[in-house]
Amino acid sequence: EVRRAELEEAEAPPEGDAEADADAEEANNEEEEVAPSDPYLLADAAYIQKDTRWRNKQRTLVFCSRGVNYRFRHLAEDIKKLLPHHKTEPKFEKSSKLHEINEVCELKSCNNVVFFESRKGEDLYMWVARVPYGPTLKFQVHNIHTTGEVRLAGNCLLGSRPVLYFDKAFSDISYLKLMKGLLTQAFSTPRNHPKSKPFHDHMMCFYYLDKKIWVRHYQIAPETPSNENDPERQVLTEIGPRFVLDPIRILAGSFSGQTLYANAFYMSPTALRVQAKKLLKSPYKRRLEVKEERRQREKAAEFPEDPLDEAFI
Amino acid sequence: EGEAEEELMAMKGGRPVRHQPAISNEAALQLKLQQLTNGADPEDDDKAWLDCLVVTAPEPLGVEDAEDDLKRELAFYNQALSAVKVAQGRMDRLGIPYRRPDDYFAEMTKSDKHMERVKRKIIGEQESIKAADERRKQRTAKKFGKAVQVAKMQERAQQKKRSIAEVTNARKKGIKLDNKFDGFDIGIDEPASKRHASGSAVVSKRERADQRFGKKQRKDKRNSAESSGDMSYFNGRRGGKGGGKGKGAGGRGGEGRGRAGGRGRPGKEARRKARA
Repeated sequence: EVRRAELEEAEAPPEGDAEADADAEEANNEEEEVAPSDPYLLADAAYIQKDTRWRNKQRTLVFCSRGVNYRFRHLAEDIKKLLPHHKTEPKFEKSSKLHEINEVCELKSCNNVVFFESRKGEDLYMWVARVPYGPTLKFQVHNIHTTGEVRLAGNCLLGSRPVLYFDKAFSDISYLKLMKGLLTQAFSTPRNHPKSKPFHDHMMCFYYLDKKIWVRHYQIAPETPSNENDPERQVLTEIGPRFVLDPIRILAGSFSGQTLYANAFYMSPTALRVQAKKLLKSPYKRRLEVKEERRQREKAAEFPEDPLDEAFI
Repeated sequence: EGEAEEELMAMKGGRPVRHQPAISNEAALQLKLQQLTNGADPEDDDKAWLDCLVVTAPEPLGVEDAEDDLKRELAFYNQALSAVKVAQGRMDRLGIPYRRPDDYFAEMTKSDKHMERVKRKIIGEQESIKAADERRKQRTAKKFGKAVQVAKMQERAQQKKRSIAEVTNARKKGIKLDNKFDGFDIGIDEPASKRHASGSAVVSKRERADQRFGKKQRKDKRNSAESSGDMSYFNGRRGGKGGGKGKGAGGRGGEGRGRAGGRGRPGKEARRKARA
């Protein structure tokens, strides 16, 4: 309180009188000699104080392969912004084998990796792995909307820890449980990380729908400034990025090892293209098929003969 | 696994397509999960929860069609909102601050410049909606106003016609319509003259000018005997039109000045002297 009183005196506006000015100057000079040690009252500010040290040392290596286009590159940049515990690497050569990523991670002392691999400049695959012994997840990324899109209007503190949210399916299905564990470790910012900020004003949501994982990133804001402390009156605005992950495989080791899970419903882009070409390739065959289908349909739509039809002629 | 294959075939329209066979090693998946998380569920223990901040949904999503964007995003939003309540409740219990105070300024994920663009876009959208509404309203109001105006004009024309008809009727039949034209002192039986009577005070500007300066007798354009025999044009000029081209420029100018304006109207000096 004494300190506060001193502050108020120092901040009081100088009076118009010349004599008073001189007096004020003298008072200020006295103030400077006996400067308060805590002018911003940091000792009272509870929110800046760190209670424990950074113990959960997760470091995630985020990088891309060569041949990524602008959208994939921006997605990688957005992921890096979301993860204050990330480290980055220059683009990975396609000629290098995937297991060399383990060595890169060791050099950077990272224990998680998020690797974006692009094929043909149009398909993006995301590998999430736990580096020394852990599993590897391979996804194909669809429907990428980056943070730079003006339609996604939210904003959050850079480096604040997100709340992670998983759908119910992530606690029921076996391979999804493993995915949840690994995604949590890779994406959640460890507590008391030096680059992390104190508040929790955003959340990353993972939903399981149509056999794919849908990822959304929302900002948590109160409806009106008076509702700040009311958990019932919060509004979510979407920040970027938003994308869909199609699970392909889970490998036992890090970029190596036995396949623990392979998705039967996954259609690779090559398979899709092959199918499309087959449909368009021979129109004569297609026409025959269509004719056959029509015949079948007409047969199925026939009514049985009604004896009453002949009752009245 | 057989069911998966059948479902796949059905999905692709019954045509065989190259795909990877399904593998699902349940035991190995369990083991791997155990190794990864050391068997600890992060949501049970408060300390462990603070390290990862994970919330899992109690209920499934309940969206049938993944292609229906609105319903799907709405379901996502609602689920996330309920998760917010859970998370913030837990943080309140543990005494963790989650809301950012107003005086805490730090770097945000998106720059101020980007947020300006977002704001401009939102404002632009709202304004375009408003402008479209305004335009629609103006259009309908104009149509309505036009209809009203047309009706009024028609009404007035009808009224005029009716009143004129009444007056002519009355005149024919000799009925006096004093009760109708109370405010007016018009004697209906006396015809209103179109021309001014001589000596009337009100004279038009045209008539006054004619009286003062004389009615301008413009040359008749018709090629009749009178117009071709009209020599007034000749008398005022000396040497005719084409005569004094080379020599008589000064003389013609002087002569012209001598007989200028009207029919021998004396000049300014002469008029002044005459007045004085």
